[in-house]
Amino acid sequence: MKGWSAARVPALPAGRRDVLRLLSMAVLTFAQPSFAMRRARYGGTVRFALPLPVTRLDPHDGGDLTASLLGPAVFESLFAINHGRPYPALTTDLPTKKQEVLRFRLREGLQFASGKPLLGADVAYSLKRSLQLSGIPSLLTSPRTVRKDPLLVELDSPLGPLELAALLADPMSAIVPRSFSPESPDGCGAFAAQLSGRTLKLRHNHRAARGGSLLDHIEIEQTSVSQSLRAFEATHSALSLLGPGLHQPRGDARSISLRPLGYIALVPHPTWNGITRPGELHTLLSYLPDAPFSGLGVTRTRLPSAKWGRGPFSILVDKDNPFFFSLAEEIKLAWARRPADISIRALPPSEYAEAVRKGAFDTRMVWVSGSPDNESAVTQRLFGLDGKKPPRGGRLPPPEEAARQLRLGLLGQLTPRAAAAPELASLVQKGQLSLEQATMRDTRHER
Amino acid sequence: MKGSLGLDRVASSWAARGEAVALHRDRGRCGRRQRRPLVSIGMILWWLAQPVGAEEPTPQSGRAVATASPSEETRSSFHHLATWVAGLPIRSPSLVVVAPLRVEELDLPADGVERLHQDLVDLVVAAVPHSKERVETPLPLSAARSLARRRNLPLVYLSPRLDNRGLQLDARVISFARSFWQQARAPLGKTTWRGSQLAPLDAMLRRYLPASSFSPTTLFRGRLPLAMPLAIACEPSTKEKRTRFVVVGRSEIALLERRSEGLKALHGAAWKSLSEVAPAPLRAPLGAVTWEAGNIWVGSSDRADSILLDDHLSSAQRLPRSLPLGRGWCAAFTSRGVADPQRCPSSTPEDPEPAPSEWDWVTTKRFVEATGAVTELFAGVPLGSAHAEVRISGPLQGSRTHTLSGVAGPMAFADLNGDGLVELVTTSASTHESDALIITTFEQSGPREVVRLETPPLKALAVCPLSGENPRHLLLSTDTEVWEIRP
Repeated sequence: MKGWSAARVPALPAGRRDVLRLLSMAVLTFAQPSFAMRRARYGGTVRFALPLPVTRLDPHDGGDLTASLLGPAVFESLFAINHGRPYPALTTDLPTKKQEVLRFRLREGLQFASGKPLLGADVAYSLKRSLQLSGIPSLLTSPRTVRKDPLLVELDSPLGPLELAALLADPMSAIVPRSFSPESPDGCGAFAAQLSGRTLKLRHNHRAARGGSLLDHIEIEQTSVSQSLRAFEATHSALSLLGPGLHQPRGDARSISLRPLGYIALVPHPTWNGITRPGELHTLLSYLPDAPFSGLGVTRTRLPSAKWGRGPFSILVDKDNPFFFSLAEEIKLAWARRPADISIRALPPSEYAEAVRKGAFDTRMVWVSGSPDNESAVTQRLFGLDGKKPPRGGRLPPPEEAARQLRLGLLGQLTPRAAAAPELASLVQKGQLSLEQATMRDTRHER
Repeated sequence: MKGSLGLDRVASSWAARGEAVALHRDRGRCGRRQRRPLVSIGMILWWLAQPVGAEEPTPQSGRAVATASPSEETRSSFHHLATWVAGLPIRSPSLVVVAPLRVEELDLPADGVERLHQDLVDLVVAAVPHSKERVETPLPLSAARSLARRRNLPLVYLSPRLDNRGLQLDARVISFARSFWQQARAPLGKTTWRGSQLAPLDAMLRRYLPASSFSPTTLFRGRLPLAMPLAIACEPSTKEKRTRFVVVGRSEIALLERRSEGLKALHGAAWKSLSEVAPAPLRAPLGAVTWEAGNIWVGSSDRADSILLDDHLSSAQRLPRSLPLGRGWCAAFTSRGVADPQRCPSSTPEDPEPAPSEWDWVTTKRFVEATGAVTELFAGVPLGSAHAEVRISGPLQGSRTHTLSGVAGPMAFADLNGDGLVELVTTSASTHESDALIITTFEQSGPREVVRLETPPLKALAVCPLSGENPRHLLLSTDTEVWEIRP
């Protein structure tokens, strides 16, 4: 980890959909040497070595970094956004509103990758689950089916139809079957997912509600940060999220501009007395030097000085999250000569969950999913993580500003420094295959 | 089986009927033939007497060409000529003689003259089975008269003439008096009947002419009023001089007419009002449209149904989801492309499992000779490939398979220049922003690329009109424009 520096890894901008575009387009590079302009090619397998935990995939868990990157490939939301406007993805139309009740109907014949039919009851279950796990205060309540029509769904919300559709377009409102398990994820997205050990296998889902993937398979192997870079450098991996190589940049690698994925937060335990004032932890993190974090794609707003009169504390991380472990190590190293020592408590997933449940930690590193288009959702979740309600009325502050009002601290915003095989990168940059075409975010046949 | 019979079989079938056949044919000529037509006129007449059988061939198993049949073209210009000859007032016995072929206005090579004359003789031989004697070598009228007088038979003298209008056959029936003195008084005999028939210069006749070269010319270029065209089809030929065509987009369907001032949208229909989004659409969409007998049949992988519309794009009727190829043939959608063509399904399959053979594009065509002989053509781009498999099957051309590399869909078969040889119109498989229209002709010796025209990326193409006179025009659609090209 110490061996690579920011200088070697040129800064690049990333977004989930951009990554999906990348994945979808990979077929063009790896399946055949050429493709017809008229129809994108199907077929092909690509392999990625990524520093992401691949033991579970839960679209509703706002702290699931892998889901926020790969979730939209496996799961679909009820609506989608194109040029800022929502349009129906799994429904026949936008919602209709009568008093406080909003209603929409699912398209007929939809199925999950497992073959289970997608019904209104699945939608009601998914929305309830999303509300429960996402940590975003609810703007809708009581999603329910209508007895006479299994495809009709109702819910109560003060939002208008377009606002509700935009809210439900969030990947964290993705629809899953009632029997959903993050360890064996099932959705109606372009890929069907299969978790096996430290490998996530995505295969073409021929039941996909918006079209199966162009690729036959994507195999994603969980590796450490350095192994991921090495695999890309040695051309064993077709994609890198952290730059063009470990020891030296891969000769044919091309940078890809992607959008920010979300934020990394350090959340203190509510009763931990290391933090007394709001903004204290955030100020501390803002004081850390940029260099080690920018190399990992974390962009930050740095403060010139910070005071920390407290004693040592620990950061709890999931041992199965190589990327977070690396970040925690960098925080520890950067803080090594400061007044307070920071230790890392890396626990296996089950013990990590147990420690969180019991509150046996000082601070824990948390992923807060959210794109720049939807920063209010990030702010709402930050308030939720801090055990507070976001201010009612008016515009919510941006995440950095909100962090100064909360006990938690934001380390920074993650903008993967993606690099890919040359043909893949040139296709992305030339825009030969639009985002809509690649990810089936195509409204043209749905208007 | 009937298609495997040649002229010798025809002759032997006559012999089996106990007829005296005077075959004075110079068989040695056959070996010199450079461009023998795919069917002789004698075969035409023989086949005319046979039951044509089922209108559509029985699909063969596997991936055989005969699974495709849809778009059909009939070549029947000789049909009327043969029927006319068969109906001549010929008494039995008579001497039937064909005059040397006269060629005017056309540049017909010597071997073409020879072949056409020979096939004309075959036609006559087959058409007048009850005549006592048929002379198959060309004779001038004077020689024919003296031969008929010597044999004491009435003369049926047929004079063929080929020009820009077609093949005209003039017939005259000449009777000779039996007594010596009457013959001496009227040595030329007496013409008792005279008539003529014209066979238009169609694909059958053009086979004898030198193949016309292609020189693509853009006739029209207009802005398309809808986005993302998936398919395009022309109106079947009409007497009116207009080009009407239907374009299928991802969100709407438009019926357009080409006018001097540009494209005029005549009718439109929104997909949303016709069919819901399919439960599992294709990420890379596919669409097709056929326009037959006033019905427009539209299919798109985006939609849950294919739709049958009238030529005002109204009276929509929902049909099972598939890609219509014409004449009741369809290609079922698989999870990524389409399967082999087959009879259109009566219901939409519940679950689009991957099929054993999947195609990015398919096109099929069926040429039916006036005899009923059928040539089946199939072309398909295997899923994810950059080449096309072309299969030609029929009694006249045998079964052949060709692979064309560097091509992709959309595609269409047509006899564009009316020379009797089939062309495949397709586009290049290119990673570049430009595209190319490629026309490949299929000669007996194999495929030959005859046109490569640089174009913007093409999304759909159609040959217009679907049936009618040559030469055909091509309609090409890019994302934003429609081009009409004369190949």
